Amino acid sequence: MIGIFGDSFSDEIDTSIGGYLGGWPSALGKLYDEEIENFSESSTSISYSYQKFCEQDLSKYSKVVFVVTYPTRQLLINNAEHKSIQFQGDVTRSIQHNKDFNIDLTLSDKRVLEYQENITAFYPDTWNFVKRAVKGDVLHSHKNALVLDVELLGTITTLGLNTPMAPWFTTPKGEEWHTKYIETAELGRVCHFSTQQNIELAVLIKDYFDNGIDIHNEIKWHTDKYFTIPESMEDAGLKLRR
Amino acid sequence: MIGIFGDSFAYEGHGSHVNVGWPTYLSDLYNEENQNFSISGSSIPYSYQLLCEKDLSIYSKVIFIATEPRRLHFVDKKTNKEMLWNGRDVPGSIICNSVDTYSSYDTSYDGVALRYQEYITAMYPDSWKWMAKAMRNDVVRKHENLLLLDIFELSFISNLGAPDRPWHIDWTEDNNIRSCHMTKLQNRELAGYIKDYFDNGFDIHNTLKSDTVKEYYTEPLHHESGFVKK
Repeated sequence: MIGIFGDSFSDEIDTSIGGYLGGWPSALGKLYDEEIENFSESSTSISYSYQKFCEQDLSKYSKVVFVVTYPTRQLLINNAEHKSIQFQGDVTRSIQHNKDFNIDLTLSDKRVLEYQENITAFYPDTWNFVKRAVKGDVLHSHKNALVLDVELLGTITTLGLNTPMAPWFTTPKGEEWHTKYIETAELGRVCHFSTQQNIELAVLIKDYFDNGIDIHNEIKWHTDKYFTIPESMEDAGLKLRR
Repeated sequence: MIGIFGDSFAYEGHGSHVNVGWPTYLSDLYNEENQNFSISGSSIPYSYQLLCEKDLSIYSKVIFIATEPRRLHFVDKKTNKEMLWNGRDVPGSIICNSVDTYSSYDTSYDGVALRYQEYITAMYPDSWKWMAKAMRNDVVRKHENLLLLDIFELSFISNLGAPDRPWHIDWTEDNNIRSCHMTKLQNRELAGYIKDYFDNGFDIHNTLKSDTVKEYYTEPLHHESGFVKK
């Protein structure tokens, strides 16, 4: 069995049209003919994934893939009240995200999120060493573990952006791509990748486990060698925002 | 050289206010110098960051004191600012940020951010235990001769002969008698057990339990304990 932990970069989804959409985690399971156990949840924090990781009996996994997300995301916990809320980087997205998790936020909770947003803006590098510690511990806790950083995986997501190779994929200077495009599962996009890119990532991960390929450098420096640039918005699974 | 990272449980003061405790006694036992990066009120992330930035190969031994998980270390690289949150309150955090630092950052405090953090900590006090767990787990793999001590263990020594808890509200510690929240004698005893741990694999953690601590550390009489009514 393969254990997978992370955020939306590894979260496979049930689509609004009623089907289950697998991404690279399912593709990896198929490549190995092994089941997967996927604890990934969109918009969650490093602490959330690490908590899930620590709670498992890791010996049941032949391999572990841990996707480490943006360190400014927080899992805020109150054990006495059996309550936790998620801070996703800013107040607006956090409110929506907690709603998606069926967590009712009180006015005090919203103030907590607002204060957390301010502190994150004042001191954005506070959590960098959390990322380092979690990476270090995950790699030492299982002999066959791979840690993938979402900053790195983002290079696959934006492959072809503002280049002649993908004339359909452009953003005005200074704007993020997702302010113009929306990802649609109905077009096969999951884990922030096209269908084809998910398969290619699974193949590359297998190459890492089987042959020790330097997956981080390969993705960073040779993204276009391993991953296909979608030919159109539909091929990428994107739509224009209205 | 012995490397020491931690909070007030390993802090011996600075400059003209040095207050010798177990780090110095340990150095004396080994006839080795120590580099002590401990600061009162510091956090696990603060100590962890320093540990990660140091060349640990210069140390024959490393001791890491893991403090309360809810203490934090705020960092903004762009403005080169850092700030400690002591896990409890704004006034105490302001004092922490005015004592010493071993980093290159500007440590002038930011009262607004501290007030915000006070509120977050009151509402969600258990948010940082996973961060602390990851750092503790990673620390023990950083050096082949490393001892990690938890302040919840060390506080069992501190509480021997102490007034009723929480004593820090009404009482203060006499630096002539106490250092690192222990009497001088307890500091010597702790240094001895740490040496025994490194030399012989002695189970030091067994000495730091509520039901065993009195067997290993001397409980002072009240008038010898070094607690002074505020």
